[in-house]
Amino acid sequence: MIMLDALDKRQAVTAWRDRWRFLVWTTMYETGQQALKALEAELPKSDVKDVYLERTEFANPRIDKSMRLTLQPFFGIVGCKAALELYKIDPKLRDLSQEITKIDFECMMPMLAATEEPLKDKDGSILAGATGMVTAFGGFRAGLAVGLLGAGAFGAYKLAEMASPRFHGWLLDAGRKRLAQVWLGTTGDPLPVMPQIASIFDDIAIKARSITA
Amino acid sequence: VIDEVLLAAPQKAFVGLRDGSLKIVGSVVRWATAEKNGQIFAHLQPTAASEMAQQTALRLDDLKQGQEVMQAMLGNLSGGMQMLQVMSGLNLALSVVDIGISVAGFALMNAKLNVVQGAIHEVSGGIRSIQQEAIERDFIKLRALAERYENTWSVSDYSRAAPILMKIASNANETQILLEYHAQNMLQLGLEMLPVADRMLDGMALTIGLRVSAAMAANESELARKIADDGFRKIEAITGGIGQIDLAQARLPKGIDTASKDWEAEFAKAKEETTPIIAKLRTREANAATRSSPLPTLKAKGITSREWLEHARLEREEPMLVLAH
Repeated sequence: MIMLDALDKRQAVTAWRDRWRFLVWTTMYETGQQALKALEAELPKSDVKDVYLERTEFANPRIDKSMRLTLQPFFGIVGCKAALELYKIDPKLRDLSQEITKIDFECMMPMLAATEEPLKDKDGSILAGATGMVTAFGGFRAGLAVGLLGAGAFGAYKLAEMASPRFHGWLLDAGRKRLAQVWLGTTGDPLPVMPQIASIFDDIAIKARSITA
Repeated sequence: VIDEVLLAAPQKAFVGLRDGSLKIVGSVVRWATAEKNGQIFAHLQPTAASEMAQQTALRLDDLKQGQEVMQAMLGNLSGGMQMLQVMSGLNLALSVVDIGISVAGFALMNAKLNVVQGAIHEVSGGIRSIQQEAIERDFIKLRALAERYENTWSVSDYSRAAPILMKIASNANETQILLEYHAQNMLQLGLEMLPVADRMLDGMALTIGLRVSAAMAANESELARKIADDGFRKIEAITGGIGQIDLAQARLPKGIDTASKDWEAEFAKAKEETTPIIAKLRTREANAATRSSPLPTLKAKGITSREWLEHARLEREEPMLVLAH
């Protein structure tokens, strides 16, 4: 029964797409939650400059680093396993399966070199490797914050308020925003990583269904 | 001849289905073992006994009671959600009734159409009234054709019934095309309209079933096969590419923060709610793909398609005939 055999294969392709897209979706979401937890653990390193002026500079590189750390190897496995599964549905899908193994998932993720601002140690000083411009600009803004608060008050403020959940909440919000805009969101220009990967599976499934027709 | 043909298969099928070496896909029983995987073992044909049982189950009053109970159970959820849950309950009933070649009398066809139309009314918020009237007309035409089909079995002279049956097979094509058109239009508005489109597709599947039965009753097996296979291709073209991920995505609240804890709960809920819906889409595709499957076997065994239908129509005890492949 040729028609039923073909339907089996096409339904298997649709199920294949469902399976991988659900897996990518949940894995990326869970990784995002872990990235937020990692960011939370780093909050004691934040200072007044981070809280008032450089929330994104503090949160973004930390979120990106956490996400990449988990997702880089994950996508490596996804590429191989998804390709093998597709090939098993129908040997006619061999070329398409090979296309999956060649997908450069890494290039869809934000490059750390471009987005990561140098991380700082506990006293807030910028670690070696910072660019002059970032250092100068950051220094200016830190100075402005200190000036606004009054130098005398600043030390006491830092000690008393840096642990405040409200201020930490601002930094976590910046982390969530980064996750939504760059990693997990559904819209944007450029598109976040999640919909970019989703569209790869969608395109391959459309091609695979037409090959098995 | 038919009694002899039917003698051996049921017991073997029963054993195979119990031990897992056989499985049912649409209206065929297939091998699930490694060496024969996917090969057809037998074809299932619902009988008058099965259709009488379905008719009872599909009585509108029972259905309404079922809906009320489910709605009471889901009272704390939103209206849209409730409806979709109720629809999921109905899905099962409809997917079960639509297997194989229908021997349906008008009463069962009517009961099935009642379910489909009732469900359309429940979710018709997105349909313009003018469009709703057109849909109503299509269903009325279909009921009329089903009634004519049923009446042909009372015509004593087959030679006079055959041209009427051919006309039914041909005229119902218009209704099939219109229902297909409505379903496509609904889906173009977005997957949020799937519950309505789904009912159009149910109507379309019933129409295809009627056309196949009419052609078979006229002993036009090749035509019946063509109608069934074309119908399958059309149904699969509409729903085959829809995956559960699409349905789940369409269910997520607009603008939900993808990095929030709320997302996780909404995502799990969407996945759970869409499981029976996607199962129904896949089942309907499989039912459509297997509708014509017994026709070549019947021909090979020297049984005419009208004889086969007549036999199934007269069977009042066994709900299913099992025809060895």
